[in-house]
This record gives sequence, C-alpha cells and structure tokens, in this order.
Amino acid sequence: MAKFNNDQISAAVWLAVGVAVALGSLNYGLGPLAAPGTGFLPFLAGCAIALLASIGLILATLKRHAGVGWTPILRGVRWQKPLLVLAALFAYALLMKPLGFVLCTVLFIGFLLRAVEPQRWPVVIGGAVAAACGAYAVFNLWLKTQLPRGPWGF
Amino acid sequence: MDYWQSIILGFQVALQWNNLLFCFIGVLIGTLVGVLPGLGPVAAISLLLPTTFHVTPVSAIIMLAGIYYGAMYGGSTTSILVNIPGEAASVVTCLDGYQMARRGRAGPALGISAFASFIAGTIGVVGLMLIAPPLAEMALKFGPPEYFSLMIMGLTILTFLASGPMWKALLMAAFGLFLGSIGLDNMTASARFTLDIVELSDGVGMVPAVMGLFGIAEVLLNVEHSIKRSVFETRIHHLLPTLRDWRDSLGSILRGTFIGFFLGVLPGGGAVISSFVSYAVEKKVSRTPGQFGTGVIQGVAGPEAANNAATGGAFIPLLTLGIPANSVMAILLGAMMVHGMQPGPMLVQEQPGLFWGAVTSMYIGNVMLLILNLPLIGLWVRILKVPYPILFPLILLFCLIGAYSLNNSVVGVLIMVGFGLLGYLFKKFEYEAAPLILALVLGPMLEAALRRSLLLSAGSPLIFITRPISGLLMLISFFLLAYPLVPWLRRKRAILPQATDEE
Amino acid sequence: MKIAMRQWLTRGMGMVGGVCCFLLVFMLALPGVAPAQEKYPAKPINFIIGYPAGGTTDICARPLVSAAAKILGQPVVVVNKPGGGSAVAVALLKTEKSDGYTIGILPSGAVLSQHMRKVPYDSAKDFTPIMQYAVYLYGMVVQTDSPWKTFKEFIDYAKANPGKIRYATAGPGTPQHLVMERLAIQEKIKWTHVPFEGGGPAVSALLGGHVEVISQTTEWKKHVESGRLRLLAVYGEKRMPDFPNAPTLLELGYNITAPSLISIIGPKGLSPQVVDTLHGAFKKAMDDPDFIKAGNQMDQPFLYRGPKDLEKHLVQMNDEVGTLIRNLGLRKE
Repeated sequence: MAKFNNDQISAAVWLAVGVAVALGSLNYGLGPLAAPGTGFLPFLAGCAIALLASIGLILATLKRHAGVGWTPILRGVRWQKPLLVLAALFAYALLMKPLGFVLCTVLFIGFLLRAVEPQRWPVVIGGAVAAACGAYAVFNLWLKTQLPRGPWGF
Repeated sequence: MDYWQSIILGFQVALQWNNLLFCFIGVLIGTLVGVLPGLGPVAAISLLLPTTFHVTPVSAIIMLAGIYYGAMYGGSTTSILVNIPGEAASVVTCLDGYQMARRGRAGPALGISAFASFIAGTIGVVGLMLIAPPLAEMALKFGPPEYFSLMIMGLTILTFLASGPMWKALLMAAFGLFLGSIGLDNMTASARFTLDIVELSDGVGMVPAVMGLFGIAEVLLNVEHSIKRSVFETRIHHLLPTLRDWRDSLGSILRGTFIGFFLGVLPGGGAVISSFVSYAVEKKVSRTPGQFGTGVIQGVAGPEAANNAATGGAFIPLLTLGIPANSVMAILLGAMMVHGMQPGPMLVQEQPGLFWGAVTSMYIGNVMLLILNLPLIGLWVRILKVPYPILFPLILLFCLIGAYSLNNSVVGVLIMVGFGLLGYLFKKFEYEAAPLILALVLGPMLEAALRRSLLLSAGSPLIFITRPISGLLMLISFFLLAYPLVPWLRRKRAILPQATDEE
Repeated sequence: MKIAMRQWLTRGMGMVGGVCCFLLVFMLALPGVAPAQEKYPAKPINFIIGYPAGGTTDICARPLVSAAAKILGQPVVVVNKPGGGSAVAVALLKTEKSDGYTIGILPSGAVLSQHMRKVPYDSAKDFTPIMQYAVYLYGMVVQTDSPWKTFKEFIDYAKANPGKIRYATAGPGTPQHLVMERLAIQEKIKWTHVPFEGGGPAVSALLGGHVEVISQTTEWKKHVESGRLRLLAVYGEKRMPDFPNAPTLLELGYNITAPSLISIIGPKGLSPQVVDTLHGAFKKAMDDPDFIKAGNQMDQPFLYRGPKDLEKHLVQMNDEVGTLIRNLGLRKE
C-alpha cells in the first residue's frame, strides 16, 4: 500500500468506474449527434469520469514523486464501530420485512446502544422499546406510513 | 397605484380569521413534516387534501402553500441539527449549518436561517408584484440550449464550493450525472442501468442518496471516535444570532435573495441551483473563503435566503405562462383551474382575490413561521444535548423509516445504506458529496436539454456558443473553470523570472 | 456520568413534553385519520399522470380526480411523471403492486409509442382497464408574426426548405407526432421533431421562438385566443367549435386524423371489486361540474367507455395503429 498515495488509489478506482460506465452506455446506443440516443449522456458522463480520474492520477503521481505518500485512513480511530453500524443497517434492511417493523427496530436500537458505546442494560432495553413503539405510533398510527408487519401483526 | 390595491385586497383576504387559522395549521404541519425525514410536503398535502374539500379554495391554497414553505424551513432544521437535508435545496445548508451546530452555535444558525427565509420571502413577494411580466418574457427566451448552459454553469460553480482539488469536485459531478441517468430514459422510456431491479426504473432517488451521503455517513464518522470527544459543543452561548452575526450575514441575505428570485423564475431546478450559486457567491466575496465549510454564518444565510426567494420567483411562470415550477405550484394551478381560471396574464385580473390572497398569505405565513420557530429553537437545540451514543441510533432510525416510506420498499433502504458507505469512503478519501447531489438532481433535466439542443441545431454543438444568452452562460462557465488555473500560471511565471534573476 | 445522565433526563423531559404538545396539535389538525379499515380504499391512492402539471391532460384530470376522491372517501394523490410522451409513467405503473392504490392515465401517446419504438410494456396486455373518460383535440400552431398565414403556405415552405422546420410535441410516439410523420411522408418533407415532456413546455418553446411550429393538444388555446399564436389546422374529424376558421386535415385533402384516447388504468391483476369501486367513483365524478368546466375550457371532449369496452377498444386500437405504423415504416428500434 505504501507504494501509492490515497489520491492515486482513489483515482485509479474512478478510472475503472468511468471506463465501465462508458462501455456500459454503448449497449444503449449513442445515436447520431443530430439525434442523441439513450446511451449518449451516460457515455459522456463515463468519459468525463475517466478523463478527470486520469488527470487526478497524473497529479497524484506527481505529488507521490514530490514525497506525498499514503495517509492511513483508519489509524487512531475505532474503525470497527462504523463497521458494526453498517452491518446493523444492512441487517435492518434485510430483516425489516420478515421480522416486522417493531421487533426489528427493538433489536436494531438495542444492538446499537449496547455494541457501539455500551449503555447499561435498563437503558438499552428501555431505549430500544421506547424508540420502536414511539416511532411506530408516530409513523404508522398517525402518519399512516405503511411500515412492514411481521408474522405477528405488528 | 394598481399594485397597492392588489396588495390591500390580498391582505384583506389573507387576514380573515379562518384564513389565518389555515395558514397557521399549514406552517405548523409543514415544519413538523420537514423535520421528519422522508415524509415530504407532497405526502403531507395528500394527507390533508380531504380536509380542504370543505373549505373555500383560498383557504385550501393558503394551507397547502403553508405546508410547503413550512416544510422547506423544517428541512433546514434537520440539516443544521443532524446533517440530514430534507430536500436538495437544503444540501448546501448542511455544509456550514451543521458545523455551526457542532461548535455550539446551532441557535444562531437556526435563527439566521429563519430570519433569512423571512427577509427573502418578503422581498420575493414584493418583487413578484413589481416585475413579474417582463421577467416572464425573459424566461421564454430560455430554450433548451440556454437551460443546458445554465445547468453547466451551475455545475462549474461547484469548483468554488469544493475545498479540495477541482478535478475531484468535477469528477463527483460527472458521477452524479451518471447516477441521474439510471432509470427510464426520459425521452424514450427505455430502461438504463436498472439491473432488472423494478424499483430502479424510477431512478436512484435524491432523498435516499442525500440521507445516505450526509446523514448516515456523518454518523459512521462520529462513532469512530470515543465518547470522550463529544460530537457537539454542549455549551451553548447564544440562542439567537448576535449583532455581529447580523452584520456578517445581512449582505449575504440580500445577495441570496437577489440570486434566488431571478433563478427561481426559471421553471424547474430554480431553488436548488440558486442555493448552490448563492453559496459559491458568498465564498467568492468572502475575505476568508478558506473558513467556509467550518461553520460560517454567511454559508447558511445566503443559501437559505436564496431558496426562499426562489419560491416567490416560481410564481412568475405560473402567473404569466401557466407553467408550475414545482408540485405545490401544480396543486395551486389545479385549484385555480377547478374554479374556472385560465392560468396566464388574465388570471390576476379575473380572480384577484384568490391570487393576491395566496401571495400575501405566503408573506403572513413567513411571519408566522418566524414567530413559531424562534421559541422552538431552544427546543431543537436541546436535542443536541442528548448524549451522542443515545442520539445516533435515533438519527439512523429516522433515516431508515424515511427511506422505506418513500416507496414502501426495502430497495430504497438498501440504496440509502449503500450511499452511506459511499459517503464514508468519500470522506476518508476527501471527496465532497455536494456536487454529486446537484448533478444527480439536475441530471435528467440537463440530459433532456442537451438532446433537444442537438435536435434543434441538427447536431452542431455550436448552438451553445452562438446563441447570445447561452453563449454568455458558457463564457462564465469557461472563466470559472479557467480561473483557478490563472494564479497557478501566474505563479509559474513569477517563479521563472525570479529564477533567471538569481542566475 | 450518572449526574450528566440525570441532568439530561430532567432536561429531556422538557423536550419530550414539547414534542408531545407539538404532536398533539398535529393530531388535532388531522381529522378523518381513523384506525385502519380493511375495506378498499383504506388509504390514499396514487394517481400517475405522464404529462407535467399545467398541460391539458393534467388540468382536466385533476378535477376528475378530486371529485372521485370525495366519492371514494380517501385522498387521491396526483403524481406527475412526465417523459417519453407518457411512456415513462405507463412503464412505471406496470411495475406497481396491483393492490388498487396506484393507478394512472393511459393516453393515446403511450399506446402509439409501443408501436413506434421499443418500450417496456404492452398497453393491450399489461394493465387492468378501468375507464375511458375523454379524447384529445389537436392542432398545428405557429407564431402570429410568422410568414405562414395558412396551412398550405406552411407546407409549401417546409417542402421548399428541407430541414428548416423544427416542430415541438409533448413527446415521441404521441398522435400529434405521428400526424407530422405522416404529413412528412405524404408531402416528402424533411423536418425535425423536438420532443418535450409535455404540452406546456412545447408551447413555451414556440412562444420563445425556439421552434417554428408545434403539433399539440389544446395547451395553445389561450395564446391563440389572445392573438399571439395562429392555429393552422386541426386533426379531428370535425372543426373545433371554438375555432371554426381552422380547417381539418381531412378538408385539406389528407386522409389523416389523430387517434385519441384518455383512459384510467391500473397494473395488471386488479381485483374485480377494486375495479368496480374505482370505475363507479370515476364514472360518477364525470358529472362533477368542475370537471365538466375544465374539459370545456381545455376543449377536451368527453367520451365514456366502461372497463369491458375499454379493454376491447385497447386491443382494437393497438391493432389499428400497429398496422398503420408498420405499413408506413415508422417503427424505429
């Protein structure tokens, strides 16, 4: 990793994204310039991404030669915590339908209160139940948002 | 003078007690709805439509309009407090508003946002009454090439917005354009990049993208740090803007009002572009542009004024051409049509009571919003005193519910979480998300304008340069892009002679 | 920590109290929100319109929709999804759940589109027909200060100046677009089609001088009446009562009329009970004075077809326009 700096890495990723977008757009047809087709704008956008990423790559490489190296992005921070939060968010999205809103929310809030910055159990349980029921009351009962129901009707 | 009679007539209608009541209910509900993410003004209006069946059209319109600008104001509140913009126009408010909140200045941020909205709304209404007809004629001169050039200018202005290198900001804008093209092609209805996911036919959606890139990403960054470093400065110095804040932001408010009003005249995108343009202008005229993004009050005052003044400007195409600039204007238009009014210049003459009543009620609504929100500032600021480990799960929960309730679909939630991860990585690798959002919102309009322009010119891109208004806008864009390079060139040139001197 | 927590709790109580007051007011302001019933409709219905607000379709549909909402006892929310001559909205409607809470307008533009290019739906098969309520009237309109006083002068100019004329419509595949293509074939004209997302923007483009002519539904009416635009010809079988001086294409010697339809449909597989409820409400709503007023003002003639008739009509219309477009060689992939 230390061979490259941050901008070199990210610009290289963007270059790949740009090329992929441009190539993908070709499937939809560019059309003649006098009557541009469906793929025309995404193709331009893809080319622009690739072009700008190339410029970025060159500038970053120049900086690399000037001695700007890799700045660690995760040092000194608790990088496990955002990972936990992200995992919880994805799990919430996937379990929302099968478990129903209320149960899923209790588990979600409870997990976050306990796992990220551990609170005492009464706070965890009380907070989770209160948040879930409060949100259910506000959004489902009053505002009539159609929150998913679990097999037990809530 | 005619205008005075109109205004007096308008106030006579708007000041009837039942209209005042509806106006109050409208702004109150609007504020609440704006604070709750995902539940936009359109949803609120749909819930309240049945109650409007029984009241006069004026009252109905006054209440619906109240919900709309109340929600705009509520959207700024969440932008400032928890970095979740309720709509595209308040993305810019996040940039400095949230930073002010972190420094314990949430009160002045909310206060100046209320005052800026109020001042801009007032000037917007006055402007509407004075100069509507000539402005509408000017808006007609905006054909597809002019729209394209205007949006390109909007995107290049981002280079001023960005604190990082220019190529990164432009790259984010290009990526936003690509994201905006996902879904059905707006001209032919053929599917693009939808990966056979039904929900993607309607596009990525601005709201999940914004909540992910701003709200979720911010939480991810905050939980990295241990509890010892609190996220918000809890000692709150002032609840309201100080005299110094006022001195700093008065010019910004006036400039923002001016920009918002004139860009608001253009149907579609006016409020969004104007808030971005206003921020860029504030950064440009500031003596300390480097401070922007760290909680500068001008960065809140200007854009907030701009997006509110745009509401006044948006009335002009409706009034003179019958073209509503947004969904609320459309409802207003619909209500007018039902009562036998043709939109167009005749409308004001045929139904002056309704029209001016609605316009002046927006003014009164702004007063009410101010009265309603100033006491609430204390309440909102108290939310920030909730310890962050307890606050952040609730912020996430609001985002999740908001993303789900847009279409009652898990896909929206997944998109939002995906954007959250993306936003986290953007922060780590120092890319700014604001250009992406602007491009995502403008993308479909920009594409249609580009394709129409090329149809008009039989494929010649020269059309963007040879038409005067478009050419001027393109010239401005060109200078904006070239400008950062100039000092660089100048410095190079300055170094060279120096080097020769030493030899 | 404990003290901080207690402090927070006491302060928090104030906050909670405030929020509760706020919610209470909010609840009071929301009358008619009763506990969920299972009877259809139990919640607001979304109504998708494929043209922007302020166009003929939108202006006439809104009073119909609010009248039907009163009858249904639930809000019906109009959602404008313009693009592709209504094809975008119809394609999106196809992907919606068939629970009766999302319905929308199927106009002739979306029907013709499927024969003129590839779109992700089949209007005869992928939907549940609910009711037809009107047809469109169309006309060809130029600026009053343009050199063309009559339809013939205009056609002569277009023939003599290939590629000079640019015309705007509310989207590709609309009947007004098809008429222009048919005129171009018959008169061997080369002109350029500039599709907009709706009639309002198309009219603005003509007023701003960005195109020479528009071929469009009645969004031009008020501007023709005020003398700013000139109506050259109409595409119906008869002249329009409000503009008796504008000849039909039939009178001008072309065997061309524009096919026309404005109907309400839902996703495929709506239950008969839902169709009955919706059809009943919308049929009754057609008597609403506001709807009649809007229809007359925008020159949108009413034409009623029930679900069964509409279903047959859609199959027939698809056959007819499909054959016509194929024979003319107008289908593009």
